[in-house]
Amino acid sequence: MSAPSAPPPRLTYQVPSLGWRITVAALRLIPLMLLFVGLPVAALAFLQSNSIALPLSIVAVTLAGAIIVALSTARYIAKPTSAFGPLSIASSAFVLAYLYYIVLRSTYVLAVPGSDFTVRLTYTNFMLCLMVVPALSLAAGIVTTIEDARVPRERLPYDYPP
Amino acid sequence: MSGQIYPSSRRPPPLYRLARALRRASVFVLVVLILFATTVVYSTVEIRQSPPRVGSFSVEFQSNGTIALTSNLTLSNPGFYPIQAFTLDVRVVNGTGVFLGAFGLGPTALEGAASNVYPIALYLPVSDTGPGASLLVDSQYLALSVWGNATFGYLFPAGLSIENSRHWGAPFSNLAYSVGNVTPNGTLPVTIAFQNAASFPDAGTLQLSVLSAAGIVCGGATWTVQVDPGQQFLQTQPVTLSPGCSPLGGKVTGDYVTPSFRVPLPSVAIP
Repeated sequence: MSAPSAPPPRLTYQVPSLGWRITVAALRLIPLMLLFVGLPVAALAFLQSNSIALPLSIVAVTLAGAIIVALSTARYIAKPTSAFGPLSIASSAFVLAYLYYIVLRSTYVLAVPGSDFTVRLTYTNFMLCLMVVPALSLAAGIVTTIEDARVPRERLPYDYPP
Repeated sequence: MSGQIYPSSRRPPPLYRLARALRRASVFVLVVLILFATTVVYSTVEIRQSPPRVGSFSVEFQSNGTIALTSNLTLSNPGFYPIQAFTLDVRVVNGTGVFLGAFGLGPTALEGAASNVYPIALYLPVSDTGPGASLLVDSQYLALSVWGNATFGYLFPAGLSIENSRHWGAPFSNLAYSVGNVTPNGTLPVTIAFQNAASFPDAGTLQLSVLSAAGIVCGGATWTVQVDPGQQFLQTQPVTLSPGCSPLGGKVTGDYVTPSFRVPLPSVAIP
């Protein structure tokens, strides 16, 4: 008589309630708004107040920052659900598009008022390197979407251990 | 919401691990880039505190028929990153837009925490037929265009351009030859007048020749000049003419001569 086989491992998870996730997401909004909207707009406004022409429009930066924050918040709230992967893809894709928008305007020419002095600064290469970040996140979102489609809730014990 | 699942092992599944690795890589790249950008900004601030310095220019005639403007550029890079592909181009045109000369430096590189001195030498030809001849006799404003390009921190190409106009003081400003009437003893009084508006003295000789309408040299004379910057020169000297050689309709030509060079000056027609 053979020995009984070991039972399969049992992994439990404890997903925070929707209300709790919304509360934490609301708290996350504060630093995210500062990072993606407050700081860029403040920097551009500072340049504009010093008569320095802007390579980016303040309206576009505000709008893009708000969309990134909104997608990030939705992604956080939806993390235990199958919407997490698609939201990650959407968020990363939007950041990629936003960075590309900046790349198209990444040669900054500063003509010093009242002088014959012109400075040209190009940060295209740096922005292209920065695009690696959302590209990796986009890939992670795709993998998560596939994982959720194949085995729903498979990742929950690791994302939300008890 | 809570629950339990029965995976085949306690190890996270491959897709989960892959997604996690991609997210971690993303965060790692972001942190590296933020640190990199921070150090680049810091290095840029350091460079701003020790900006490039251009030494005083010295101006002198050269034996190859040019006026040489020489100086040096001191470039300091106290930052972490090298300055790469540094080029500097200077172009000079006169007040009417005629190109006079150019200077190019580089491409060269300057390592981080280093400084270097680069020579600047701009040669403006002053032959009596070239566009630079007016530099000898016409004080004027020269349009100076400067372009500089460099890559800093490997990823940040930057450039600057300066359009400037600088006053040029001619060493023989308003040079004029005037001739009198041929005297009975066969001499022609020739008067030379000019002002040294340059920043350097005129020290040498002026060798003048009086030519006939057919281009035959009728005679010549030499003036010794020692004219400091800002001073006027006005002297008359009789030029002994060759017998039978008439200067009428001819011209006066001159050369400024020192032991090391000879510069032809613009000629003046004799009425």
